[in-house]
Amino acid sequence: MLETAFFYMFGGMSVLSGMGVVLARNTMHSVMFLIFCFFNASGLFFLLDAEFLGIILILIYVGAVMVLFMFVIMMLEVNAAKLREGFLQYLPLGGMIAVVLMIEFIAASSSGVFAESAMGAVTHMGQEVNNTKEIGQILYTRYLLGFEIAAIILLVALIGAVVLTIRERKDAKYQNMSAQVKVRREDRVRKVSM
Amino acid sequence: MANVTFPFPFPDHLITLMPEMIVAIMAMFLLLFDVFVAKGSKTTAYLAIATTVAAGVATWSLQGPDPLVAFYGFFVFDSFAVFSKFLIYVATALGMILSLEYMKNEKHIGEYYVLMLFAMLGMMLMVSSNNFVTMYLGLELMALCVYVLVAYQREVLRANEAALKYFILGALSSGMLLYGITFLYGVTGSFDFAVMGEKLAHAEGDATAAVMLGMVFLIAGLGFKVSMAPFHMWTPDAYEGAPTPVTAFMSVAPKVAGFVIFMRIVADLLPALQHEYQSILIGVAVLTIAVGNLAAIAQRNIKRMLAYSTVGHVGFIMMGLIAGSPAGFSGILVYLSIYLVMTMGVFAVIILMRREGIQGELLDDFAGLSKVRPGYALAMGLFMFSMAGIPFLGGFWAKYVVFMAAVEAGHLYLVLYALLFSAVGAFYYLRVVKYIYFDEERVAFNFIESRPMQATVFVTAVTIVFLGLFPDALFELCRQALVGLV
Amino acid sequence: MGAAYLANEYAPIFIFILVAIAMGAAPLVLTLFLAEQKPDAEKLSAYECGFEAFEDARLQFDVRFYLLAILFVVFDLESAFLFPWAIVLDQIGLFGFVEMVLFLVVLLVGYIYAWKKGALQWE
Repeated sequence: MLETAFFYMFGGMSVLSGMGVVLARNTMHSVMFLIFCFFNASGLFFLLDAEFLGIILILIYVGAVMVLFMFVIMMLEVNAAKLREGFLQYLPLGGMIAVVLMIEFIAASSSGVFAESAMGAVTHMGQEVNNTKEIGQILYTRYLLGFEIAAIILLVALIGAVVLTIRERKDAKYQNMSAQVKVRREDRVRKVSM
Repeated sequence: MANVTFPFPFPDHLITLMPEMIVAIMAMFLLLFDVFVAKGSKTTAYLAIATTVAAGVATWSLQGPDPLVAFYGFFVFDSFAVFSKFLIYVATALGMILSLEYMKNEKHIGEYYVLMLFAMLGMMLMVSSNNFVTMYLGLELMALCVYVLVAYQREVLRANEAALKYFILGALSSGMLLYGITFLYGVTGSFDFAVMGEKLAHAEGDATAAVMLGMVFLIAGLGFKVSMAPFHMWTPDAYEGAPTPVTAFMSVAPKVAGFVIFMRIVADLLPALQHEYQSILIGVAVLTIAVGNLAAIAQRNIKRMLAYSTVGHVGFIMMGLIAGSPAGFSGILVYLSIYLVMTMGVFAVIILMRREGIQGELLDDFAGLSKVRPGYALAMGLFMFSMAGIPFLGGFWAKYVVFMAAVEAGHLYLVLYALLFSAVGAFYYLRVVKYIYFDEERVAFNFIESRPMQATVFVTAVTIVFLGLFPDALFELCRQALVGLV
Repeated sequence: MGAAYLANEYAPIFIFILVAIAMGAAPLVLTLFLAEQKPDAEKLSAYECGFEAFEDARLQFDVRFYLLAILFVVFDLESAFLFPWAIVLDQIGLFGFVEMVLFLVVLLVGYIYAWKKGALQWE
């Protein structure tokens, strides 16, 4: 009972904040709504006993990805008023697609395959089941190929970011630490015979 | 830990992954090699090309009569994967050869080849996947690399615009794909195509709405990647903005990988839903063929024109999917092989015509080519005739096999419709030939002199003629490749 | 783990969140009722003296922040993968260890690359 109440609270809040992301005039407010949305999604994970995923969602998405978003928005200097110019023009088509999708979603989720009766036993695992351990046991054995590909995807993300953003500025002055450390007396002091 | 044998059977599994490991290790090595040793010299490029060859050799030495399955069923190595991997190797190697001169003045050029290798790795994983986990990871690896490659010329405004559009729409399509997968997973409880197909075949009436929604999202998501209409909007902009060798690469290799995964899904996952997916695909194909061939007529930029022409070709390739028969699938492989050769040849000629500043990519730039360089003119003419599907060049047989397969499967009207638009398409292909042979030179030509690229033009042109005259070997090869799939 | 477990373990956190929200909201709400407010046009203007603001107070960020942020995301994710691994290491043994070393080596390559390229250098 309490659980259901919390489910609807987290679910409802995440839907509302999702709408906030789209409708907020200020892009910064959209980001804040998105952060709130992630917190609620994390709450849903907790309700599903997936504590590890819930915490990771906060850690990675709120802690890292949203910071990235924030930087991107600060970088872009988006003018929200200008972005809205075409809004009314595209509303009929966009709204139509949204309504059709909505109907389909309702049809799909009420079709019975996701009903409680079709799901078998919908109960919580005992307290001796540790969800982090369960993830570890399956992620590093059965899904090891995907795990290693994930490393390569992260590597490519890093390369891409470096290639697309780095600039070599010739006029910038910086210290060369290793040169400073390696310096010998002969390099700096010169004996002059007078 | 169901199905997990311990200790892990190391050698058996790792050997199957040999080509992928070679590519991954070499790509990482080249990344460091370039910053520490090569520092932007062409050595990195040559080593990258050598890596594709090495991967080809490894794949060749691994292939056997029986499909190999490794990593608890997350990786398959069957003749179908082998054939498509070879197409991907050829496309990547040619893409690299075309980049040698074109990209030589770019900054961070070492990483360019590394990213191409990683994109190739992603596609290799895609074509070797029989489940959504490996497929999605491979797809994302490929897509991420291609986004960066499109944006490579950072100071060029249209490259930035193209990359941004491509990235945002690509991310959206990935989201749709994932969303579709979650519905199918929710119904079946598995990621494995074959297991899911089995479950879907026995799905009760209740599940239909969820399955349909999942399937629609899946087709839309994949449709984005292979630029089916109405999900093709990114194609012309991305093709125009990207550096031309990247355009050549991305118009072939990801399409091969995308269609291969489409075929696996159709064959393993959706056989029970044949009627449903066919009706969706027919609708999409009708739109794709029309959009591709009609919009191409209005283009003055040859890269944009080829983008729409790709959309048109995708529409024709889809006829093989709609047929859903072994003949249709082998037809798709034939089409993809020939399409690869033609496209690479055309882009090689376009790159050879690069001028300082502007890049020889307006249709007007081709005016009078035949008088200056009859060799290039002849090659370009051959490619254009072949793309238009004029008999007896390679492109004719490509269309022939997919159309025949569709007719055999009972889609006569669709084939007539496709033939009609194929004739419309011939107009804009032949218009290029008209520019080349019957117009006076308008702007002075200034060619890149590069032996590897001239060799590419020569070899692709000869291949197209050869395949036009003796297509049987290729047909047989493609039939062989399908053993075990359908 | 059960609803009882959730209730026991997370009730303090939930109460804490509620208190935090209340503490944050209180000054805003209380001033509405307690403080005397007599706004006029001059009081509400941006400054009571000096110039109107010329532009948005927010400055455009340098693209280098983005590079740092994405490096952070990548290595943050890497550490996220380490947690479940550390818990099950005694069960997956040497095999699991080698697997994680491979994962780390791939990212180490990226780290060396970024370092050598000067991505970690603040100009």
